Amino acid sequence: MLYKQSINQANSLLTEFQLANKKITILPQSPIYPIVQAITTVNETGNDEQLYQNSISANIADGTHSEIEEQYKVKLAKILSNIVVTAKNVVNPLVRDILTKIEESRKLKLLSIANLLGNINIVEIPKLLSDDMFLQLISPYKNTPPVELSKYVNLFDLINDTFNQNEIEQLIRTNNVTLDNKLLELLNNNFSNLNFISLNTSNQLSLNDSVLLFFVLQAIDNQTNDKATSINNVDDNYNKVIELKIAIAGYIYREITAIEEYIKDGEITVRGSFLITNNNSSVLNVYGATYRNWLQTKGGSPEAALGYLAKNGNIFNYAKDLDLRTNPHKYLEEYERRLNQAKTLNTLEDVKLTRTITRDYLATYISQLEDVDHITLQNKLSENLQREYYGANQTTMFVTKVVCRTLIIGDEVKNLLLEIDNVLESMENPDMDKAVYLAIIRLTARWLASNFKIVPKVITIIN
Amino acid sequence: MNDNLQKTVTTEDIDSKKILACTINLGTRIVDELIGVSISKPQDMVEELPELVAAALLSELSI
Repeated sequence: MLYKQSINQANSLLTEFQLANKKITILPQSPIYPIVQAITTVNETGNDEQLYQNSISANIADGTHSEIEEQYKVKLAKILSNIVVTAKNVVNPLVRDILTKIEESRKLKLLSIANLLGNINIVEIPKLLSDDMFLQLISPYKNTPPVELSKYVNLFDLINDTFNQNEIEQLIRTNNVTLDNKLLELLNNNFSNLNFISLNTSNQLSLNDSVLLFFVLQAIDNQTNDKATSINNVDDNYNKVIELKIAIAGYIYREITAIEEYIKDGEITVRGSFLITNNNSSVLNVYGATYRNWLQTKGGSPEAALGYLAKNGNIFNYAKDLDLRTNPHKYLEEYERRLNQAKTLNTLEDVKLTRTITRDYLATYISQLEDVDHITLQNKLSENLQREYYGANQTTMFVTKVVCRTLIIGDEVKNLLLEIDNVLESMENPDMDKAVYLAIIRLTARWLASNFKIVPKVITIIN
Repeated sequence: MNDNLQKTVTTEDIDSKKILACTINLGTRIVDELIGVSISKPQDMVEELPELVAAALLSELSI
């Protein structure tokens, strides 16, 4: 018996055939043929009600339309059910396991775009460096010649051992609220290890350590508290404290003056290590003020800056910095070139890891199977890994195909799983139940459609 | 179906309609048989099954 809804839908499809001037014929060897033959040809107008009635009455010796349809329905539904069960219980868990391992490996081995081409660190000039009171404190020492800081390592150690973080915070206070606020802001924003003064790899002090050390030495010199006095009273320390304090003050003053000049000149990349808090080689440190001006008025872009970093590294060079300022487009091209290079490398690595993980996982799985010809299956695995194309964003398809073609006979399970994946991808809010349901409908429709032949028709007008 | 189309219905069309109706019907009954056994019918699936089968069939046929 035909559902009336089936007849309604047939009318809609028929309209499509009429518009295309085509007709549908059915192959005599197909299972649908006897089902169709079981219904008497309807009258000339193709009346829906008559078609429905004819589908109820017996037409051929083998039985009614409903009886013949039932036989094929049960047979085909059983085959489909086996496909769904195999896909659900055997193939899908394997595919999901392999995909999870691939994702884990990607996180470890593939680099993000930021990691591939580095980062920009925008360095803002701390307010303290333009504070009049602070400049007055250090300016008397501006002409002090530089000293070899490594000579004072013992004094640094003594200071670090004597004061804890809270004591340092108390020690460096000047009783000038404005200055103290700027000092604390500088230290809080840039300093994570307040009680540790250390030389960097080039035996220099950073801005934070320099400022911190200057105020600590000032406090020791002034014998601000007992601990400061105790350091000051040790033989030789007094002279060292004074000597180092004025050397540090001179160093800070010269650095501030120089930075002002660099910024006035429009330099973008930061020189030396005085202002730099992130010295990682994949980070380009830039002066905030000149960098923003370059972006807004000189055609600069973060991509061009990253292109510069990729080409020249993060060590300051005046000529190269000038080139970046005047020819940003050149470095934008460099960025694109490096980006494409990096993406290609990432893709190659991705292909390699996807194939390796799929191979290793399935090889182990096969070796654990009982009652199978292990050599034949391992050979099939190798063949399928070589045969199946793996392109970008096709991981699920690749893994599904290799798993199915190695372990499952026939293509139906693979087709069902890929269909589910297609449906999921097309969904705004992916829903597995709905995807399986729609994929089964599509797979069924594909089977049914394979029984037809679509041919052009000769129009005969019925008057 | 409009009047013009009514006038151009041929015996070939009638045969095509019968084939299509039987195919949609069989597809619907096969999927119906699987619901509750190997697959579940999504709660918010408002479309009628024959309509979904017909739509899938149309996309498989090159006309």
